[in-house]
Amino acid sequence: MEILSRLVESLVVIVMLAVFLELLLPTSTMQNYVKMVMGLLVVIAVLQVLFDFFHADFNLYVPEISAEPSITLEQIQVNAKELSEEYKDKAVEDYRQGVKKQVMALASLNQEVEVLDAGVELDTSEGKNFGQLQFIQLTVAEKSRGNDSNKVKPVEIKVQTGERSTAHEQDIERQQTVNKLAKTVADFYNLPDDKVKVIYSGK
Amino acid sequence: MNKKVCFFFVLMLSLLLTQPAQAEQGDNLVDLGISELDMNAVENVVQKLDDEIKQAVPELDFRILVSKLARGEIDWNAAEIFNWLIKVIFNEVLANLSLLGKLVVLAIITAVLQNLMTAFEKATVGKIAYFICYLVLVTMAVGTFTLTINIGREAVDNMVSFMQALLPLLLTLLAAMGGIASSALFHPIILGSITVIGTVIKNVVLPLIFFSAVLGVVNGVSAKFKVSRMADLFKTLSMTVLGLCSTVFLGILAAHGAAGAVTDGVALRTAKYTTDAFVPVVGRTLSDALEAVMGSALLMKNAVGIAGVVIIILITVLPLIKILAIAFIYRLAGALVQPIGDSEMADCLTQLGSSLLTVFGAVATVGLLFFFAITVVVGMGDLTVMLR
Repeated sequence: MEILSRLVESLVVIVMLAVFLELLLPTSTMQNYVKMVMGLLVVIAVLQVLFDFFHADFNLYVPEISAEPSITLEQIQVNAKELSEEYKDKAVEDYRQGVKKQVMALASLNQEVEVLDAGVELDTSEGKNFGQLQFIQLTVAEKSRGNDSNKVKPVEIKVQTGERSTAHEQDIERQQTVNKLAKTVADFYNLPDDKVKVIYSGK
Repeated sequence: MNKKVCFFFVLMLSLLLTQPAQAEQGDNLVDLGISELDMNAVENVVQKLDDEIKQAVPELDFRILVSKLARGEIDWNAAEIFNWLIKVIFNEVLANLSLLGKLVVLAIITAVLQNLMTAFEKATVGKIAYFICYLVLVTMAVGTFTLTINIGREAVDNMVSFMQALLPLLLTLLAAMGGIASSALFHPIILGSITVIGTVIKNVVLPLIFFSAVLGVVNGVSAKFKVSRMADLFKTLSMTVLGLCSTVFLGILAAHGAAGAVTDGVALRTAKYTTDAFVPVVGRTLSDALEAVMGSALLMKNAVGIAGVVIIILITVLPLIKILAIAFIYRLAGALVQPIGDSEMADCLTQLGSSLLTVFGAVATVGLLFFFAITVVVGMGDLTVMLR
């Protein structure tokens, strides 16, 4: 660009000189010679540029490609990894919530207990097992019979001596219910029985 | 060149008239990543943009623009934008009317001098007076021309620095969505070619157009001594370089876009298949959750891309309008001068106007190429997700 800029400058100067000479020289016969000489000057100017170009060692001026150091690829990949971890966490959280709702819906099919809460543990490590269920914990309580409260309760006649055995029976019954629930959930999710825990919170 | 410019404007209009897709997920998903994303580099560049853009769009904040675009809250009113454009063009033309006045008055003086030339004792006196007037006019015209070329250079500079800030952000979003191969392919090539294009246009094409304009003006000084072919040569050179640059740039974008997206798409597909197949019962829920998050990440990336395009348009349109207004003034001055003055002066002004239109074309081409670059990077993410 420097070379071209010099060429344009010299062309402008030559043309201006030609115009002045044209004005200053008296006879019109001289003007043809002036035109000839100036033309030769232009040719020399252009040829000089060409020869300069050919004689250059092609170590041409190359404008600096990047003025400011932009972010490197490594930096981009690190940022992307962080962002993709965030995306994954978000997805896993949505998934956990989805599975939790599913577990609660499944457990609430059981008529004998009321499901209070469900906790789900997932495998979040990278690899083949990503997303697999690890552990399910259910918190249940005895089903409240809110709608039945207005009804007349059946009269229960309790025999004092049988109370302990009844409580014991109730415990067994409750344990059976809990086990049944745990087994159902474990079977549904294809988990070993010990990976499902049901906590009975007595009211 | 005119076809390219028309194409550019049709693209811009179609983009402005398009409503961004509404977010179907909840707001929390749309917000995904907006707060965490490191947009500081882009915001800094937007803050540094010159005052005129800020006057045109006072509340220009990249982050807010992205979040509004993601939610589909931006109300594009085509009529309003069109009216604003017309208003800006007229304001620019009005602001440059003084230049028109000066040019026309000088041309009238030279015309009068030419007619009085015979009244002087020696014709040379009249000739010198005419010559001086012509020189004054040319100096004035070339001075404004230089200023206008600098406006173009500044616009190219702004665009390049904005792209250098925006692309790492877009590539980060692309890589986070699984387009790791694409982003690794794109990073050196796209950033390098953007800088090269900007530098070539700024340091080679625009100076060549300037040289051609100067030689065109000098050509009119003497009736006997012509350098118009040299001016043509410079103009052809500049157009060739511009054409080559755009062709090579578009070729690179097209070739790399497809290659990266297919690799990434296959990788994502494998990941999805393994989740579906190996996680019993709830594998589907997991892959659905992943897909939902991916969808909103895609939405985010597209919003960032569209916001980038909007900023590129803002950076390009205002300088382009200025250049166009001054080119119009030159052409108008040429048209007004022709009946009263001599044809050389009219030709000189018209030629300067045409050269400015070439500058307009060069700057618009840079804008268009950068627009394509953003579109390809954004589109490649969509392709990656589509190929899952």
